[in-house]
Amino acid sequence: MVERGEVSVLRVREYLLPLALVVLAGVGWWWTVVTSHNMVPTMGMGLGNSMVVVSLAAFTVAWIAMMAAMMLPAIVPVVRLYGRAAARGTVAPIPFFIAGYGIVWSIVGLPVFFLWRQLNQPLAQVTPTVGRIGGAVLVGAAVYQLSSLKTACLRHCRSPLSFFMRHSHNLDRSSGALILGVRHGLYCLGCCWMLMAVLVVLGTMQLAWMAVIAGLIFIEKVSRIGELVAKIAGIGFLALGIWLLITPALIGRLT
Amino acid sequence: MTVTKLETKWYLKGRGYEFCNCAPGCTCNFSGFPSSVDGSCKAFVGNFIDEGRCGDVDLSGVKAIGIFDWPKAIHDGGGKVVFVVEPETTDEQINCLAQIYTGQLGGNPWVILGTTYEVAGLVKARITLEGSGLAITLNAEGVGQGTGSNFKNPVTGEPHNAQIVLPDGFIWQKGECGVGSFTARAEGLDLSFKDSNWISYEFDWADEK
Repeated sequence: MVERGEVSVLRVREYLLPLALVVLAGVGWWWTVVTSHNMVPTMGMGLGNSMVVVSLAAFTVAWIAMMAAMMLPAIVPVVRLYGRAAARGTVAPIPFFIAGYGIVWSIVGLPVFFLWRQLNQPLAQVTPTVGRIGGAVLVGAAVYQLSSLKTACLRHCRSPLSFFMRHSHNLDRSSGALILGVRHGLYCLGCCWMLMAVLVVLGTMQLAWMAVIAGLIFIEKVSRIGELVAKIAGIGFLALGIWLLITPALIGRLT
Repeated sequence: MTVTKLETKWYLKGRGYEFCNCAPGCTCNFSGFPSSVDGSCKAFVGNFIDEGRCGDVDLSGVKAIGIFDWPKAIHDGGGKVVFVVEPETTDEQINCLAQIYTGQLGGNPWVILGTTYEVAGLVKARITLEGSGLAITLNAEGVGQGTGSNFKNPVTGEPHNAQIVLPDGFIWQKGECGVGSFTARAEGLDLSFKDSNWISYEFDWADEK
């Protein structure tokens, strides 16, 4: 049985952990804001020719910062739940779990980097073609938002308890915690990859769109009406996508 | 990484009787959020252990009831539980169950689930089960009672069987679902719900060592 003193320490930890994640996310936002001026001001701003060539390393840092900014607030409930067991020493420390999660999103950054290098310059031009591509991606995102695969992944993300019950094995070992983190990352990827595609098309690291998508991810995963919001967002994407396909010039006002 | 306490081996097999304040069909097992009006999860859960062991302690034949009160979804934590065991349950058995049910010995589902509540107390009372199938009454003398029945076919009024199979279910894999009502009052917890979720299930839990 836990002593009274121990209980209050556990309580403090309960608040510290979400705070730490939010602070980390804040650092991610700060880094993204700071670097957005040097790195990617080009989208929609007509500065395509003076583009800074971004190295893979710089991109990786920016990508991880962006993922931290957008994803960490949304995984607070999962990490908090894991953290309770970690605080008791019955499972491996939290960083192993978060590292597993982070690995998935970091690896995803690699193909995004090459894709982005190819697409960044053409996408930076405000042409009708770019508008149509944006429209097509939005329609694709809408279809995915409304698909059963998205719903299935989202349910895993939204139900931390059942996620742990279904997938945790040997959590007292660091490898078990890491693998569980990877699994959670994969479900999260299944939830959010199309949202990330929208973000790339509407302007990588464009802060306003990043905030909108991050807000959407948070509500989808944490709110009681998250599943409904995901579907409403899908309908919104569909409307915007069709509008863009019909009026490609609209892209100039979105990015 | 492994903690000494965690090395105690345990397993529990038996039947569970779960009454909670959600609409019939326990949404916590599907979407993670309770379907109760206020978003809370409150439950009266009996575990009749047919076969069980924890270290050297035999747990076969032990009956336990948990009265749970989570203010929000289970994963948000902050819950309270009062455990009820029969008067003849030995201190060793109680100690084992307390450690298993609070996740201190590891193993699913308790290693994570057991961290979402604090134990508010332990009560000793006679635990009985009357009836069969889904039409049963689970009683903890002077503490609480859950009464379950089958769904009724809305047209003919005949019993309407509903089974939920969750191959990866986190507390149970196959449950028989009905409608139940329960009341429980102990150690500051006071629950009373009518015509809500009632599930009878088999459990087979063990550590992973």
